[in-house]
Amino acid sequence: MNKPIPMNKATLAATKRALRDMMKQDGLAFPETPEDIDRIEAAVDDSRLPTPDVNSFRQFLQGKKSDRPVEASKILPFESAALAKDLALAARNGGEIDAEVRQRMDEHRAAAEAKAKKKR
Amino acid sequence: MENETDESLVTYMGFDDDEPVMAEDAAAELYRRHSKKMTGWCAKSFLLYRQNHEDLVKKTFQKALRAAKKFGPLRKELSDAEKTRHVKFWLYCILKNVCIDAYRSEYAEREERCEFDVETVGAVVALDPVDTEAAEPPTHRRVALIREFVSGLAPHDQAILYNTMQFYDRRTGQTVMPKAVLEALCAELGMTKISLRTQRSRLLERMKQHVLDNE
Repeated sequence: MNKPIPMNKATLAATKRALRDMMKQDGLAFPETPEDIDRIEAAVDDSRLPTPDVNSFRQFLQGKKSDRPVEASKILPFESAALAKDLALAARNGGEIDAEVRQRMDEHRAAAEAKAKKKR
Repeated sequence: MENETDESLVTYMGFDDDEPVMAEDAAAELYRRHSKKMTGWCAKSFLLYRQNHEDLVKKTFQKALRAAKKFGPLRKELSDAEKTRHVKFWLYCILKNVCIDAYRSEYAEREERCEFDVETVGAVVALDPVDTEAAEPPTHRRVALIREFVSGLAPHDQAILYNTMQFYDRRTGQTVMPKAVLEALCAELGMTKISLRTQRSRLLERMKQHVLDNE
């Protein structure tokens, strides 16, 4: 039979047990018993999360794709390399964007948005 | 379904073969009640930080629907709150398996692409030897010292400890990690398996020393 090691002497195994206990107390470990659930839920702040989308879950169960449009990347690819160069220059200079560049930016954005709508 | 208890919902879900509409309604209600907290926990959990949390939770409830008939009736003497706790515990156990499966399928896909043997996908890796020491529960002081030590570590080192310790088995004192999860963790941290094991051992030794110095 193994001889118990006195509590005041920390061993590697005892350290690991304590680490695991810390994770459990702080709600970081997967629950090992039903009693751990309260700790886990208390440690989670879900106030910023959206309300569950039950319809999308139902569609998932039925193997359908969600109705929710796929979020487009905020960075749209530039159609013209020359335009990209101008815009990058304006951004690098850090000053105000002049009217001509602003107009080209707006045109480019409108074109990209129209293209994205067409695709949908 | 809104007035039903969690346990009743699971019972309805168990009739998925004969009454699929009713079972699906029950699963949707259970999803409405608990998926938000579970998604929030996924975002907080180190093990799941690379995954799409919403999808993982959806898959968890889908698996729960399929497995509900195996969910045995809970003891009658349990209160409703305790029964709800048991249902949630069951859902979190499924979530853990869904997470490991997600890593496994990612790993299998990678292996397939490289034309390696996919038979090894289910393998596990033991990071520690079996602990033969008689286990005493850790004191509050020791746990507090560990918390102090870990909070002072870089996120990279915290990730090594938290991710591997998810697979610590209290009975054997061993950390046995699914190979796919270990591979994913190494890829995420930009480490080889050997360097991760070495760094983990160093961290645990330093942690032990911190406890010895301060206890």
